[in-house]
Amino acid sequence: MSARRLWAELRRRPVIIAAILVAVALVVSSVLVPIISDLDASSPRLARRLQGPSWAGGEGGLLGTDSLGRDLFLRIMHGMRTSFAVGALAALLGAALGTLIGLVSGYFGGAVDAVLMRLTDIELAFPGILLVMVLVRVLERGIVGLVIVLGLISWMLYARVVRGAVLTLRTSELVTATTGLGASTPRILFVHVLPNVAAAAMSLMAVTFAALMLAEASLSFIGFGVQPPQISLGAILSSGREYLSTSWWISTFSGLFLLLGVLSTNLIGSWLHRVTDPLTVRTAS
Amino acid sequence: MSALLEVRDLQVAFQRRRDAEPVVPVADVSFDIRAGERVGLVGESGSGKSLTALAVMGLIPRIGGHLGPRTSISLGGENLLAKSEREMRWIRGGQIAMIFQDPLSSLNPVLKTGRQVIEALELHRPGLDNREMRAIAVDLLDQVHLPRPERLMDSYPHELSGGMRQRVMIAIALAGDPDLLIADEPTTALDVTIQAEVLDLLHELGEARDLAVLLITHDLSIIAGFTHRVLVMYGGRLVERAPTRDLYADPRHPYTGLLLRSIPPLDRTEERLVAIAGSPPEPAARPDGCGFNPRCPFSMDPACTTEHPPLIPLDGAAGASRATACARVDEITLGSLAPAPVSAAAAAGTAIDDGVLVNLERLSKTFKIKGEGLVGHELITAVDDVSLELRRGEVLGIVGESGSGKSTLARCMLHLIEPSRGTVRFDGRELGALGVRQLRRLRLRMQMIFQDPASSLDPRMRVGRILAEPLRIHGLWGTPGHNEAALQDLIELVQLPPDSLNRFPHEFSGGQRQRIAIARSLTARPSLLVCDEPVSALDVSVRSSILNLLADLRKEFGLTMVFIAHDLSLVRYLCDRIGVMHQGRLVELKSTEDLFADPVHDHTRELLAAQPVPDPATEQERRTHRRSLAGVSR
Repeated sequence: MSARRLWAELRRRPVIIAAILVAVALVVSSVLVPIISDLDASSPRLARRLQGPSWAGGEGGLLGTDSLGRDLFLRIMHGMRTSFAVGALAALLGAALGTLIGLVSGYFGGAVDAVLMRLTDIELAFPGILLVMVLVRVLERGIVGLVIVLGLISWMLYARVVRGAVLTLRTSELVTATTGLGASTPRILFVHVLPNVAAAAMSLMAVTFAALMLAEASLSFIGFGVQPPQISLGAILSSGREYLSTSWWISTFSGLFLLLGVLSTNLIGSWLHRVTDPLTVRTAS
Repeated sequence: MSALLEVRDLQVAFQRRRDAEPVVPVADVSFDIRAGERVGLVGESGSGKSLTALAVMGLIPRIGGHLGPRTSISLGGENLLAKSEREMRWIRGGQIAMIFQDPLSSLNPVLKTGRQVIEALELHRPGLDNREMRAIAVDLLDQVHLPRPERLMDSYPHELSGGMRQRVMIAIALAGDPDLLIADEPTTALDVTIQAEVLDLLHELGEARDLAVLLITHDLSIIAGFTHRVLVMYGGRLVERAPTRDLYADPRHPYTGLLLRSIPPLDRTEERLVAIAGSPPEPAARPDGCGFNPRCPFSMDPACTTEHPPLIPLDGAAGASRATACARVDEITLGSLAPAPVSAAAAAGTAIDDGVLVNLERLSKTFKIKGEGLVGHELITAVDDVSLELRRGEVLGIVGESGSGKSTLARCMLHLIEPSRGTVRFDGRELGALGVRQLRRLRLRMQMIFQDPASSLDPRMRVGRILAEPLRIHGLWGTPGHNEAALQDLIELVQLPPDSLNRFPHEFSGGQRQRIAIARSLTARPSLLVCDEPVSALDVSVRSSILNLLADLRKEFGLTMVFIAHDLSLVRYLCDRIGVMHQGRLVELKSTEDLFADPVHDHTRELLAAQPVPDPATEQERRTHRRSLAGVSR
């Protein structure tokens, strides 16, 4: 779909426009606020602990402070940044892995296909949380480990979708014609087949991104995710539970920002999926 | 006699977006069909012929379009546009029935055949009990000459062949005892021998039941012996209306004339075909003035380019039944149309020499398909023990019906699929004995073009990149003679617009895309070119120019060609020798002249007898002949 048609589509969807504005604002501020702020997000200032937001009569700045007296707004922005980074990188990793597996599985068929697809089935059937807990034990804790874990639990959908697309392409005249030109198998796969199935994978990526952001927060919430001193929305949310009756702002605002981030990217993602997925677009037009 | 169906000023418009200009794919179409009359509606894709049929059925609102304010459609004197949806449902299938191109997708796959006929009876003949309905249904299946109708009642659509399914569709259409049957490309998906049978059946039913038939098709040949009158549509308008005999003897609109002249004749070998320039317009981008003017050799400013010429009745022998929409109808003589000249390079081309380029020895190909049950498989023999030799510079035609194995043979010949048995020798080298790299290298010298250029070209590459791809693959890109300038020459050679290299395949029409595919196959100057039904997916009016191009290129480059087709007239024009395939076997192989003069194998004769020709007298004669044969066997 061309940029101009995408824009024309977008103009008729005020909700998506709003979602884009929110997402952009969140990304920009989560990158900029930690840079320009002269406060330190990690070092405790116990004298200022559990102060309410200034607009609600407290003395804790914009969104109040946490149990160690650290500025909540700054910490939420840090957490937002982690969420976006982990979500994006994990989606990328899962997409790359799944696309490769789908490509190989669909193109070569036979035993290769059988083995790879059974592997996909097994992983789809395997309880995700169990796998994550095992992997987290084995891998290094922290952002890199988390990205790998989330990538490893999200590739199956790509593998299935891409395999399906490749199966139809494999018997198409496009592949026969390219074989007839004397092209080698890697060339057919990566120069001719891959670009034609990439759209399907990318449009899936838009949807999984939000889900992976949420997965990162959930893992951090139960303590399996990002480890201190790195900051995650899930961890902030979790730490606020103890103070819910006295200092409501900690869990409320971290939860609210997580909601905004996931909701806006999810809306954008499913819209992008709808307008760019070659399968749905073809049937709609 | 008053008309059964009267269509006046039919206009179909689609409003895609609220602020945009509506697209008008059909405009100013008026025609009558009398009771029992068979009328052909001929046009290419996008001409508006199918929309015209849907309008008569009252189905335009369902597909999101609307009719023009002056449009009127009446059946037996009753205004159809004033009918409620409930009344229209009664009329559809009751007074007007319709059959479509693909009987498999119009039949319900999970219901038994008999059930589907009975359903139509339930809708349109209420008050019958089950036993009566079953008896009528069996009778209907018998009327469409289906064998053992009692047993067929209990079979499912997938158990029937394509021709049988279309007969079932016709039986269903007859269930409501309609006065008018609309048949939209009813034989396009069928093999040529089955096509003849289905048309004969429609003809017979039309005569016996006084049933009017509106036959919609893109193929002028199939209706020659079938219809009383013909309507020709182009660019959403009627351009000619004439009794069938007159139309073929003396077409008056340049489009009809050119189209008839561009069909290669079956009874002689033509040096050269009349070609029509350009391609048919898209409904959203039609030219000003006469829709045909950009492609018409008689087009004149401003007579043809400013206003739509109306359909004007012609005086003379044929009377008021003839009409044509051409502003210059009195000035032009279609007889003066000459075939496109042979290009100079082609004229100086090479001839066949004695050397053998390709040698097939006892080639067979079997496919495994899933059999019945959970495990096990069946073997299908697609190509069965085929041996032949291809001499340098000759063009070999391979004809056969769908499933005869002709495409598989072509792919085996190039080792695009591995033959199961037998050997292929190309220029003395056995392909099966070559290593992967050697075979890839050799592919430069043997190229293939496919039926559907849209699916054989990478949609994400610009044409320049597509044409350079064979050279890139073999690391030749950038070496002397293999550069941008060479591609530009190639573009000109296949008569594409000069700015083509920077555009994507989807920006071109079907015919142009096939030119791109041809150009790609020529980038590396091959010795062998295998063409698998290269014009079957193209509009009728662009076919002859592609055939002429292939004929030119063959001479210019001294190409050896294999030309696969299901249409005998095409191979007659292009080929030196013709092989006929039937159920995987090569049943007859001889020179073009001999094959047409003296066909020996039964299947060759069948094909020749069924191949429709654009001549009413011949077609009628052949039908009488076929009927007498059928009468003997039945």
